[in-house]
Amino acid sequence: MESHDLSVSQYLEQLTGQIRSKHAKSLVEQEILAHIEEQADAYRQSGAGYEEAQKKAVKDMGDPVTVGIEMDRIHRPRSGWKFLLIIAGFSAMGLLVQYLCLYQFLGELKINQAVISISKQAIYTIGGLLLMVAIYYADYSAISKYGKQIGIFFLFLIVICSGPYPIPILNGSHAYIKSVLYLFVPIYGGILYRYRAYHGMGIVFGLLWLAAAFLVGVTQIGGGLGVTLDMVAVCYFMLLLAIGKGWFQVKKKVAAALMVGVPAAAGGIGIVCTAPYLMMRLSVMLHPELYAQTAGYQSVTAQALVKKLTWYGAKRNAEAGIASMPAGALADVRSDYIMLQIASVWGILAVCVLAGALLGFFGYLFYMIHRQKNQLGQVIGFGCIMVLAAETGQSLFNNFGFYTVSAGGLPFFSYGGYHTLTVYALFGVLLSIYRYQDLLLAQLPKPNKKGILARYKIKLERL
Amino acid sequence: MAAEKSLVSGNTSMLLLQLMSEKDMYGYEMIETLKSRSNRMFELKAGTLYPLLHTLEAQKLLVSYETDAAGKTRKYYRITKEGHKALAKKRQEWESYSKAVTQVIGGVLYGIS
Repeated sequence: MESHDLSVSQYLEQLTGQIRSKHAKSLVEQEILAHIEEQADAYRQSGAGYEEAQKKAVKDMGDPVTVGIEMDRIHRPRSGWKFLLIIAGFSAMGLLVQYLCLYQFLGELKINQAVISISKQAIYTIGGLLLMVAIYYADYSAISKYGKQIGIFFLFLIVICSGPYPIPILNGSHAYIKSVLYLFVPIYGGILYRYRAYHGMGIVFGLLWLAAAFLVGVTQIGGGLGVTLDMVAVCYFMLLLAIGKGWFQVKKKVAAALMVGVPAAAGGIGIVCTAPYLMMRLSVMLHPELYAQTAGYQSVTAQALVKKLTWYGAKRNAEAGIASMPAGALADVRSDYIMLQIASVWGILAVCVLAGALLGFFGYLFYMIHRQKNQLGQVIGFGCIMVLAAETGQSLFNNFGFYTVSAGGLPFFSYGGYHTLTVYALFGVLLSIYRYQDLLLAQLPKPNKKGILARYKIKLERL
Repeated sequence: MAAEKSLVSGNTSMLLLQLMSEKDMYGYEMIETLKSRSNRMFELKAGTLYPLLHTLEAQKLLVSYETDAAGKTRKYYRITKEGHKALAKKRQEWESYSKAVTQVIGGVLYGIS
């Protein structure tokens, strides 16, 4: 069909029909339409009739399909195959390392009467990879569009699942699902985005959401204190970052007052209420040997095992068997002490290499998030990396004998269904941020001089 | 007479960057300015212009913004620091190229020191 047969709308339809990205489609359509109208106006000014000028302007545009294909080529999401490949590589390596250092020895010893096989973790890993890819293709900015609803739903879900149904209670609690709390981090980024341009009230609401998440985490999930503290700390930094980026358009003094004052007040109340418990925890952290039979048991055991480690290889001979390994002394070796186990089989150097590679990969992700320009992506992305790095750091500390508030896993190397799925979900969000960085509107909020109180005032006046 | 397509297409980005190094412009304005300054030698089609502008923007040589003027919303383009550098480089390449051509086909060289 020759272009002079096309009306303006037909031309635009044929052109934008070639463009797959929804955002690019509307952008391009607006720009091309504006151009056609200007060209038509110019023809009218030199005497052409209304319809004739329009037809001529469309004809001047050339073939819509060619232009459309070009535009589609330019406005494509980025391919994150490099990251996907690295993560797949780490996944395979993680499973292999777990097998070689732990599972191949475990025929001799049952732990918690659980099935001793790498296949469960392999299934969780495959599930995690699929989840990651699904999130990668999904548009992460939906978190910002429905941030508050998702936040409420998420916290509500945690409360529901912490009852006897639908998730079974294991060893007296739901502690094994605690990692799922980390998923609040990207959701919180979306919530903050909804409060942009709300000035000081936005920060207050952000802190209120933090308080709600903290309460849910601490009261609902047994043994969830460590994960909750991590999550709240990371979210606090995300709030700081959002303030720094000008999301709330608030004076520095006001922001500082809120960000220091409110948590200090809340923290003050919290410390007063939990003083004896806190003192005990601190004491265990600093002197685990004093609690060798109770809270400090694992730390003390780990410290003893650390002393037996060598830099390269294992000092004990192969016949010594599992009893001399961390696997023989610590019940949660596959989730909480896997690095110690690896060190006891392969030496400390091996763990340094693995941990170094993992942290290096986090650094690479950090650099990627920093480079991409989308504001929402930056806040959510930094949050996800911070939480993964915090978990990894604490896990490494814990592995080598330091008492942490709660022992945790680390990506790729530790066992756990909910933990694995959570970690891969976070990777999925990071990759989605990378994929759509050129295609999403990376706007700063429009100045909202009135703020939230004024909005409610207007609504009341209309009643 | 319109110049040979191949000569124009390779250098269109240089010409556009040059225009925007002088002032921010929107698409239609670029086509008209190019036409008038080149005495109708360069009649750039819109179908060529806009993909090129979007490519330059994707390469961070330009940024775009919208303004409302006389009831119309126009998308303006502004050259970036990287765009200035790219323009300088392209101009240098063009000057070497045209110098070489003139030397081969002979003739008087104007403005060559």
